[in-house]
Amino acid sequence: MSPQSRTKVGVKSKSSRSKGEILAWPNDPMSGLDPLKRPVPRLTTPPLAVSIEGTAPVARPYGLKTSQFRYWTAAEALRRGADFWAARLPAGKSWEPGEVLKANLDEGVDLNAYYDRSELAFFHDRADGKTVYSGESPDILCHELGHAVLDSVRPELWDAASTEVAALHESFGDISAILSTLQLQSMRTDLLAETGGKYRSSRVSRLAEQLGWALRQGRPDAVDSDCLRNAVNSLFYRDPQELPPSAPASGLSSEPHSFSRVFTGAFFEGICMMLTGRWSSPTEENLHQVTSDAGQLLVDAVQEAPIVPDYFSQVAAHAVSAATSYDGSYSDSLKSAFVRHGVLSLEAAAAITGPHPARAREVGAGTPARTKNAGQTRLPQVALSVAEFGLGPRKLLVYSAGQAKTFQVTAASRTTAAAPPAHDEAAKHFVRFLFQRGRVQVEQKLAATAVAHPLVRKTHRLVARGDELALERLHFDCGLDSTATPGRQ
Amino acid sequence: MAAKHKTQDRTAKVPKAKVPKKTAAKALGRDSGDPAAENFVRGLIERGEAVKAKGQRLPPGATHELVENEKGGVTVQRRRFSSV
Repeated sequence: MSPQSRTKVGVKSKSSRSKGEILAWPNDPMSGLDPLKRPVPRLTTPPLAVSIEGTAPVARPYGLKTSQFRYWTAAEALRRGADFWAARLPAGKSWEPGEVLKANLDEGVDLNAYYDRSELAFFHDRADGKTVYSGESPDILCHELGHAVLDSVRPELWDAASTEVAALHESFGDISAILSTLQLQSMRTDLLAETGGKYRSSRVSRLAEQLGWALRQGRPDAVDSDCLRNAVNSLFYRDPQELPPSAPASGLSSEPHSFSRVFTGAFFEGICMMLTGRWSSPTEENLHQVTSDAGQLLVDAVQEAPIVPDYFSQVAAHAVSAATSYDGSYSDSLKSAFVRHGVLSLEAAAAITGPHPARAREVGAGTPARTKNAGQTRLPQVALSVAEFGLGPRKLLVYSAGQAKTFQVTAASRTTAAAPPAHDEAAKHFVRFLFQRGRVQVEQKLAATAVAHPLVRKTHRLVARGDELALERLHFDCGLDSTATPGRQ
Repeated sequence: MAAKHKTQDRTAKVPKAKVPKKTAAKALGRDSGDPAAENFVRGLIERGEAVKAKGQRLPPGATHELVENEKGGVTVQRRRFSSV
């Protein structure tokens, strides 16, 4: 099936809606928007059926702060998220726990939510005199749903002893929240009004404002200043083995939620670039198309990417590779975004020039793409010594992210081991920075495989000097290293 | 599949993780040949996210359980993903 035919937009499953209307949040309760009237969702309609524990209230609009309102806003968000992903998964896919995914909207006191392979569990707690329900936020609902979706696609990820694998799971959850909210026409219009499609902080990029607020009352440094996590960020990849196990939200740590922000930031910037790179004045219909394509690219990538310690770069490489089958600008947009966040090194991005050879053959044959790791239902196990943790002399057995790489790519910081001589180090570092940030204007004839960063404002250009290349500055700017509107570079 | 334990308050009556906080730079599985896995498990234990639940529900924030197997060994098993 061609990518285009798999990602049609505007096709709604009539069977997942029933008559009548309910009232539901279009985004997080603290995003500043009013509830919307929405068709009554039919949660238990396959594919990806969901059921909420307890008796469903009569379907009609309810007042805010009622349990009935929370029920229907949760049902609407979960159905919307499930519909989005169901259209992108292989036919016949169901949840890892079974045909129907259960959700419990209030399992007790906590400021959190969980997916545990038996259900989605949400909680409540009080903060600064206010009760917050994690199951009231579409961001949290669709984040947890995202875990369940990814678990159905790649169940081997569940037990992998790998920071990047765990972080990718969290990132998939946050991307699920973003793409699910953008299935609402009003949210697409709102995002374009707020940002014009540029990579700017918005109520869409800010995830779980309300839960973030509640957590901030007790631990001010644990979350962003205006949300739980923000998909618009400046975080750059670092080898998680070099990071501390925890850090304030302003910094990066190897804790999976913290580290996930690198991939989420890159992928969301990629979405913005896919949009503005393809359409100079994007409409909400254009944005709808891009969300569909981005969701499909991500599903394709996680299905095919081998599970390795530097998992981010493998998923990114497969997404870039898959994007070559779509609009011509998508691949460059994703490359640019992944390089700008260090998920792919410049060298790695330059090396991805089309579909992986095995994928190209299989797609050409009309069969689903598979890698040589496909079909492996278990990762290899390794034994770790854990005497230092008081666990005695026994070995700790874990599943290792030990599959074979399909793309020989790395993230940015993993290439710094091959350091240049000391006297060149500063200059090389600066040039690398310019290319990573996309600040260099490169003519195609000079460097055909260089990452183009078509939407990034340039400060330098590459020119030919005889048999060599030279770097010339075009101008200084105010220092806001941002993506530019096409035509304004 | 994780055991189901439902009560009204997950922050109460939950035994603390009994995994020592002590860490040592050189001890964790030098011979495993998988430093990424070692680093991952180290992070779980340092943050209190991997615990010996011994049949009880996991404390808030914990995502993994340290489980003794039939051969007297121990495994670390994911029980859930969380939002925070």
